[in-house]
Amino acid sequence: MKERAAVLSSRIRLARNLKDTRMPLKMNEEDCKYIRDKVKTIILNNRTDLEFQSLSDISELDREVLAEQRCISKDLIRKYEISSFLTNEKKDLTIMINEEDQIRIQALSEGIDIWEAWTKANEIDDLLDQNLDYAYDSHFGYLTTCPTNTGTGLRASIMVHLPFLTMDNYIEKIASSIGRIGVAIRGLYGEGSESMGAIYQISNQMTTGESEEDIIRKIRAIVTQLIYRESVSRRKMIRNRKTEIEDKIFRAYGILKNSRILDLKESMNELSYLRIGVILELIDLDEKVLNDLAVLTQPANIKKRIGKPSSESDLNIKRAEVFRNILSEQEV
Amino acid sequence: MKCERCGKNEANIHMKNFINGKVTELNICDECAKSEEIGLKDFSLETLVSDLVENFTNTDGFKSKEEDLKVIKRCEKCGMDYSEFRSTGYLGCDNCYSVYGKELRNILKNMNGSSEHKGKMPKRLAFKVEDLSEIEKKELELNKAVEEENYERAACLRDEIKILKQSRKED
Repeated sequence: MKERAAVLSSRIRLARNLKDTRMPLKMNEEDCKYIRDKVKTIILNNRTDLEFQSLSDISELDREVLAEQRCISKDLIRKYEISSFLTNEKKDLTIMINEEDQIRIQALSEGIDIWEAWTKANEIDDLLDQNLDYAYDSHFGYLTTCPTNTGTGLRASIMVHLPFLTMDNYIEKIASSIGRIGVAIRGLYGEGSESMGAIYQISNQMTTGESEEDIIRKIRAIVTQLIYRESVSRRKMIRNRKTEIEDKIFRAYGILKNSRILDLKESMNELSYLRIGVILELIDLDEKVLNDLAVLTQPANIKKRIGKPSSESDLNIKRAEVFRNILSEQEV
Repeated sequence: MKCERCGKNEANIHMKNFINGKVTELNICDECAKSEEIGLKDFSLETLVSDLVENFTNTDGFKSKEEDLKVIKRCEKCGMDYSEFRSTGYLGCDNCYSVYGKELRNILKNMNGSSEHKGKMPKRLAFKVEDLSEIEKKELELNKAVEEENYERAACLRDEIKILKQSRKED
């Protein structure tokens, strides 16, 4: 059993603002420039791995591509005239400037290794802290635009694949029970409670009353629990419907490897079955390939590959091609 | 829902007015609210509802109209006034946290069970806290020394505390 394929990635985000300045909601152009230049200078003087980019210098499509890669947030794009960011080559460490808060530090790591993400983000936080004065209150902690971030300013989240709990209609029950201890579960793609591809994000809601370490420990513990429950659900289902599930897995593999037209929803759902196949070790694929496929076949990434204005059906044709190519490369 | 005043824009301010126990509702757009200064004149601030903030700030229970009018607040630094804070749920600068400190304590207490930060802090402050705890440590030691009737040690500690406190003032 390859359980680790059930966890896609971990993310840490820290929200920060500077003392005696206006936060983005009340900023004027000059304020924006001041924050940008200050943060940019400190980072570039101290870190050679990070590069600066203004969102206004990037095409609309490239912005979307970066958002799909989770390098920058949708919120940053909405304010593209004033916002900018610094990121590394791997795009797993980003400092966003003039988002909802003046500074948003984001670190990603593969799988459940959320402590690694925390270390990376915390390093940047310490570096900025040594060189500027954060808006901080001894009672409230780090001050942010929205009170839902005040305190640690920390959002710790882990992305998980929970297809069997979804089939069991268990997600809503989980949502209400973990909601009581300040943890949220959200469908990552798709609208409402129905998550496309059974991928969910588990994250803390509370930013006061708990330390960073407590928050991260809690999120990690809940994810470990969820993975366990998912495996129980899976075993139960396989006991009763083994052939049916195996059939779905191999059909999904067949579709993704051979289709000529694939829309986003279908591809995400088949990718979910493919992931089950990898966990059950019925299909020999590295989980990294699955994670890459999930990002590379999102709309903006596909548009970028085509390289010219294209219709929905062009995208679906290209998407099928990307799946075919990447999956056949793996067979060699 | 369309604005009940102009009928054109989407109503994004939903107000309830409590008069002598009677509730009347009004759903209007930002512009009409601004032009009529509704919320300041006609309605108690407590009932100027933004879905988000309402749930969090109403912990004091129902307040009379007169009481509420006294608490019209505005952040001098960024211009964030109380109605904007309530309708957006956002803050404009660090000073807002002093101006709306009481409301924010309620919001955070309701959301998280505690409004108090328990995590890391800026280095510049952490340094001072270390100083403070040093004094506290010595004060505890002093108490102990007095209890044990070790007056020589107590005198030393007293002097050390004095020096530490002085150096804090100079900082």
